Amino acid sequence: MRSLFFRIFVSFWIATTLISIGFGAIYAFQSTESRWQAWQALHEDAFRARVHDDERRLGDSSTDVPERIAHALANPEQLLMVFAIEAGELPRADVPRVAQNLAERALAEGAPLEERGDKITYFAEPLAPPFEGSALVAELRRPSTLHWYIGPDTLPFRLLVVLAVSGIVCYGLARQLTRRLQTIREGSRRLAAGDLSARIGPQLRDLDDEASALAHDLDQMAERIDALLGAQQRLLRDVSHELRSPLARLTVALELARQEGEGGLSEYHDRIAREADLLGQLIGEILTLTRLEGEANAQRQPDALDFSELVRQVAMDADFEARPSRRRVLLDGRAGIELLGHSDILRRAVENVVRNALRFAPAESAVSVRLTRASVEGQPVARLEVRDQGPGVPETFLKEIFQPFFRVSQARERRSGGSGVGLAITERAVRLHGGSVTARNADDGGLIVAIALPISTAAGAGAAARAAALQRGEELTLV
Amino acid sequence: MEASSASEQPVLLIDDDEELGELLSRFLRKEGFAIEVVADGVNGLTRARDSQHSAVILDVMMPGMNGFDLLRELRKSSNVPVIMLTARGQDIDRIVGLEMGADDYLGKPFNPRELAARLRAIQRRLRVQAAGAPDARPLLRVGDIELNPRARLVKRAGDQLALTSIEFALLEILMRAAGQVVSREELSTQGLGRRLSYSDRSIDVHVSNLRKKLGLYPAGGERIKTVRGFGYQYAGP
Repeated sequence: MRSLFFRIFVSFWIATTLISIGFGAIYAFQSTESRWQAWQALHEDAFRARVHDDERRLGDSSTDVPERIAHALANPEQLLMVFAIEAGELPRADVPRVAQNLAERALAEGAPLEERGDKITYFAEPLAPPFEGSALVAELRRPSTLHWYIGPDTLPFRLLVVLAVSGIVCYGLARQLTRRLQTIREGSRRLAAGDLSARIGPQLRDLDDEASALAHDLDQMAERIDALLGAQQRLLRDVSHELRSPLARLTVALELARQEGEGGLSEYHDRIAREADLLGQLIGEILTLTRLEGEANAQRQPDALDFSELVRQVAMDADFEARPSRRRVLLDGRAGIELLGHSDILRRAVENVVRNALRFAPAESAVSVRLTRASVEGQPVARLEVRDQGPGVPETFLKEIFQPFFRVSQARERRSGGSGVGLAITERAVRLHGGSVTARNADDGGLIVAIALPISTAAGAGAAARAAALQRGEELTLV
Repeated sequence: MEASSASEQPVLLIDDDEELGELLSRFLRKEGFAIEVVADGVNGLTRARDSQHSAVILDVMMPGMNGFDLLRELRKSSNVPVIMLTARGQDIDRIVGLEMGADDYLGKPFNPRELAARLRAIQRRLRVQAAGAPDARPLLRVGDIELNPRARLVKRAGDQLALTSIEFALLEILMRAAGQVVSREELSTQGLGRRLSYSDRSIDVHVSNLRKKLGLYPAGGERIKTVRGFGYQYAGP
């Protein structure tokens, strides 16, 4: 695809060059005669100027004035030969007859004369007092072909200059135009990536053109979107907060009922308790979710953290919790993987995946957690795979399970608990860290959820993690 | 003030949700606690300072006075055990609160029986502290740290350190087992009076606070070492 820059640049360049060529052609197709005349006319003025200059200087000398003038005025670069000829002078060897005749005639008429030849033009001018009686004859030679082409005052040379100058100007114009467009592109990319605070207008404020107008419009759009999303987030958050208080009271009231109640009601109390628990969990998870969405904009500074240790802790805790129900969590983890991130958010993300796996793991089975270091497109990546021996997820839903409240099957979720938000939290959290999470069905049954997180500048993160750990007063190993 | 009566003092609940306060006090009374309820932060702080309580339950989500500010103010003059009621899912709240000197936390909505259990754990701890016979609880000394269980004092090279009751309890457990590793579960059961729950980091936060207060040995070594995946150990100089 031809870029805008290229098109602007080339079209302008061609246009100016064509214009120059046009002029050049017109010039070229002028008669040789008039071209020669133009050239002569140019030098004539120079010649006249030189003569008058030298006339003034002649006052110093006494003898051989004409010769001196001749030498003074001779200028091989301009191909001018000048002779000074006195009236009635005998023919000289160094002066062409034509020149001499012309000088005589000019003196006789008392006015400048010229005689144009094929290759040489003679120009005679009678001198003014105190040199009356003498005339200067200039011989102008037509310049050689070589000179014609490479001399500074020749067409090809001028064409070259035009090409260069117009090239530079067009380049600058095209660059400026497309750079502004590039700035707009970068700004909208940042918007799309989730940075709703990105504004393009200020960067283009230096020039008040269509590009800055477009940037202004885009900024307004961004503000609108930001406001709308913000309002939505706040609503969600406030609703969840508000739900807490009645739920807290409900829980206490339930316990009071239990205290007072007879044994026969305890089954119902239990069910009420379970539902209240679920509600509470859901509220907590929704709030976490909204917090994560806000995080993308708030841009909290990430720390260096030991991801291997985080995964190990989560796996161990989960294993401990799973044992009463005769299930295990087994960890096969690569140690020493460090990355930049928010440890509380990542912990939650990993926990949710493991919890989810446990929920679907049948009794006497184990959930396996594997942590490895891999490379994706040349970048180091931490890969975490959590696998259960459960029923798996239908292929068509493998992407949707990371949406909030998505349920593969109503009944199944209800039986095994879970609010439907856990994996959505994981997805947001992982995305926040520049990673990705995917799910696939294992060949021999069960679901595998894979999290990939970029390991940023391993050396830097490692050193920083150790420094941070020492600051927290931890030792990395105990002998 | 006699420590033996501290465990018998009423529990102070500071929460702006009056209905919840009423329900909770009914429940806790049935569970055998004496409870006093205050519905705003400022009054709550006054009550906490003015009289003795065995524990303070503090809602950090109150409008007006920030629960954390209240906690900080309270800690200036009192070491009373504090249980924070935090927003569920707000890890930051929890960690910040623990760092500020709260002893424990519960996310709202919480199971009231859990609250009762923790209050009982606190009372148990207070009774144990008070009941210690002089010879059964000798002075503990490791390196330049001296821990006096009866006077509830900790000194480093002669300078007294200000520790919360939880920090004191944990330090005592670690120093008593100096040179040996104490598991996090054990620290929780003995120090907090409750079992460690899933992904519960409160022990880690308390130990981290303790470390900050104790600092390093003069020679630069760590006083409390972490044993990955297991627990902590109090190390000699």
